[in-house]
Amino acid sequence: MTEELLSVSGLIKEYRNSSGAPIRALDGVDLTLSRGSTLAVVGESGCGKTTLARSILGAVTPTSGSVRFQGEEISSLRGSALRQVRARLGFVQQNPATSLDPRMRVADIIAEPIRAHGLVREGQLTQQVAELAELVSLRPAVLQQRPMELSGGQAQRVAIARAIALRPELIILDEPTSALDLSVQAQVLNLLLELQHQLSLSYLLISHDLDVVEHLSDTIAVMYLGRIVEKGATEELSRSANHPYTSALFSATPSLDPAARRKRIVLTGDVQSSLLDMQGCSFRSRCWLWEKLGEPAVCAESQPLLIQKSSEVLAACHFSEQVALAAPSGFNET
Amino acid sequence: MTTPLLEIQDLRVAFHHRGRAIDAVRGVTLQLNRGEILGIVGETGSGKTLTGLAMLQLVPSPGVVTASKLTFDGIDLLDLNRAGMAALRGKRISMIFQDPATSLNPVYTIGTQIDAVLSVHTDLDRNARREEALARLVEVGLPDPQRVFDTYPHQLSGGMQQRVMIALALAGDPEVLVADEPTTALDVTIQAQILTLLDRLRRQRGLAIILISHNLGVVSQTCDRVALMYAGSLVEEGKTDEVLQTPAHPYARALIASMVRSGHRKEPLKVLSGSGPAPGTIPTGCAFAPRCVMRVDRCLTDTPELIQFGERSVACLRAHEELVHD
Repeated sequence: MTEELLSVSGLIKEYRNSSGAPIRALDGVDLTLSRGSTLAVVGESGCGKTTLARSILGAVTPTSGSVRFQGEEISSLRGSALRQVRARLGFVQQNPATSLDPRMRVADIIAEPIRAHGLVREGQLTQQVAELAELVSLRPAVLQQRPMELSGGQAQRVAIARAIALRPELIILDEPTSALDLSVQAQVLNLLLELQHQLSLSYLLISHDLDVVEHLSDTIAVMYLGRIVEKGATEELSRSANHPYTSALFSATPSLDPAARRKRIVLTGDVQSSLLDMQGCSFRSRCWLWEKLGEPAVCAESQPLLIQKSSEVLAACHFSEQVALAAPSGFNET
Repeated sequence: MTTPLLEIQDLRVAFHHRGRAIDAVRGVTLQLNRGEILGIVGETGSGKTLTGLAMLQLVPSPGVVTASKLTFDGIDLLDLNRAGMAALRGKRISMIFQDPATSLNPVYTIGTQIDAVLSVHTDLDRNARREEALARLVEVGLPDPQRVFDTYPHQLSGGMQQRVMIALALAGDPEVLVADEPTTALDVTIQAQILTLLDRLRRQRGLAIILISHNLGVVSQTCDRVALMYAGSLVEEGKTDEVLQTPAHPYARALIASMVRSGHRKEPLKVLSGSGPAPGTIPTGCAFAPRCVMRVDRCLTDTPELIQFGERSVACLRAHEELVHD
């Protein structure tokens, strides 16, 4: 049994909309991440994946539920205790152009977390920054430059160097490659894999790019409207989905394979807002399978629970065994 | 053989800065037929967006557009004055952009914005324009068009806003739609809806589309032909499946080889080292030569022309080695 580094259980975060009605950004999320592995959280805008990341960083106080990191409850920590836990968590954001301070030199950007936590004396700092730059393959000359002088790939390397500066065990990667050009994306993905191996890092990867997710992750959790609708081992889940939303997401990811064009599932409508009073399955209004099965009543009556579907996968669908069978070999458009 | 709807030969866009001309687009030659979807792909700074803007005389000042030919349905676009272009733009050639939230006017309702386009390009009276606007919203797959008609842009989701943008762009019944990264700001399931919609409009109305994208997957799923740009020039052009399955230009090959492939989880990806040259710093000879694994001495001195091999064109001095004995 591998050791759990992070465990999230029963996490709920409620907000109120402009008319005062409660909205659940997170609606009972359970997750675990074991040391040295990568967990990917996928889903569309508004599914709650960013709120989840912010809860783990202690930047959002959950309404209820728990976030334990190395056995310590993060959601109840304040002040210096929270600061100490944050030193063990790295964070890489989507767009390095906006996440790096334009007025600072690269060397100071990388050194900032080390200074903030007062861990080493200035004399050793230069040495340490140089080592970090080397780890992420940045030329020493880059350390004297400012963010606007960097290419997108270099800027993301700087963000990664800063994230590993305090030698954290867990790094939260929020869409780490989606602002990058294709040729640069491969460089950054390779770097992330190398660092994980060298430094035994664990990653929590937040992304809507399923190609990237499939490449980096060991397990995937698919979120829809604040809930996890399917989670399990990457290889099994990407091969055959047990939830109609998962299969739609995978089939909608555009690939170079000409055959994939005919298998695309096009969902109708948009993600709804997560108002609390919804009965039944929250994916129902967009579910291609529900339609195909003749709109069974159970989907409108009871919210499906996340239950074990195979040795490595859990899914929350009343008809999960139908997903692979009914998935299109010539599904058409609306 | 039919004549192409849009013909572009040796298109150049230059910006003059401190007495020096910086070429951002350096000789693009393309054709677009009726009912065809042509993809223009490339990375940041490759000139793909400027190529699209040049077709509608929308290149921002002080950019200068030149071409040996730039015609739409026989009309010389370079010769057209502002009024002539204004009559064409929105009516016969339209454009949509990446971010619908910034392209729509936040202070007018959707209905008012569509009505403005219809009142310029049609002779319909007020009531007929309203009917027409509602029909347009239905055409792009918006449920409840009455409600959408009376809403402001911020009340709609990103996917609905992009549908509104497409409805606006199509309100004048154009023959050509230039779509610049139309799905980049959208979620994948909404992206699939928009791409399906573009394909349907092409089939139903014979609309010709230029789809500008950095996403090879999107292009593969949507386009009949694809043109790949690097440093302001075309490096390869041809049928989408041929180019993407068996790329001939070393840049195209390196780019496609660097993509994530399923079944190779956590394996190192092939990396295309270095980065593209910035406009104004493009080396002599082949612009890709400094990064190219196939480079020979003459690549540093001779500029490769786009040469046709059957249905494919490639700008590489060594292209015949790849394509001739195939």
